[in-house]
Amino acid sequence: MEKSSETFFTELLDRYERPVFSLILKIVRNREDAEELSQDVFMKIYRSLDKFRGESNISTWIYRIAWNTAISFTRVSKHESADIDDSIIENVSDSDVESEMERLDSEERLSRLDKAMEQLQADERALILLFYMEEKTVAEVATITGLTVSNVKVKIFRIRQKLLVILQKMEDKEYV
Amino acid sequence: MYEQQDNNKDVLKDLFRLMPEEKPSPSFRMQLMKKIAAEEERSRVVAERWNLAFLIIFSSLIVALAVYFFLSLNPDWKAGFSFALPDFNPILQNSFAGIFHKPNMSASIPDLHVGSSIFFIGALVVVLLGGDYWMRRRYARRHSGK
Repeated sequence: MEKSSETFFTELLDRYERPVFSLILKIVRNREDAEELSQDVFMKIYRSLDKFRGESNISTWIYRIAWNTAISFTRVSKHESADIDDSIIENVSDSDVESEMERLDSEERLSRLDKAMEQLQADERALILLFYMEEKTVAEVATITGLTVSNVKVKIFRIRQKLLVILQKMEDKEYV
Repeated sequence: MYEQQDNNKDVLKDLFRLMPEEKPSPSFRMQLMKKIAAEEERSRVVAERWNLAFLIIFSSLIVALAVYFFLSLNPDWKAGFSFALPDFNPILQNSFAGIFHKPNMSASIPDLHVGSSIFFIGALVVVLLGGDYWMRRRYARRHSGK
């Protein structure tokens, strides 16, 4: 690799090492697997850096590689996820959860969110993380995942409603 | 459907903002660089093997060509054995009739001094190609900082 490409790769590592690792860790939920997969992501980036033609944003390109790597891995190791009825999903609102969350301190809120995330499927987790944690737009999420914009909108809507239901259920259990 | 809008109250957006960014282990980058170095070494060895294979094939072709032209340019060689060359493409044959003709020749094993000339040219080709290969390797090593 030429010197300029090497410098560019180091800059990419400095900029994306943590967010990529963090995203993958939250998708696969295992530190060792996340490290291994993040290294695979950067190896793929390193190998195809010369082929990157700048047709898309570099950040979108990197997240696309991370998405594909993490999702391929989780397809091999599928786990049970929460199965929630459609009628419940449609009836939950932000305000229901918000009032309950306000009672908790930030550490407890985070712990609830983490447990709720665990009950989602890996691809659902990845989508919602790209949207909320990485603050990608719907169009960017569509480019990263290879889904259509309308499909991403529908999926994100359903996943966030599902998350709200799970969070609400956790609250109900707490009271019982 | 859902689109991120700042003016809408989104409880999840606030919650995800609290989520800390995780750090990889301190050895993460070192391990990654080791993997990259191993991969570079592997691809260098593969490229080197391909170069060597091409060198051998190319040298053999040149030596074979040199022998063929020596035999075809010296029709006086006596027939100790004979061999037929395959038919050329008729169009090519007509186009280059003045230059090439289907050699229908008989040849004996050439005299010692002819044989040594062939050997000399063949050896020269191999030495030159070998030198080229060696210098390319040296250049590549010097410029890759190894």
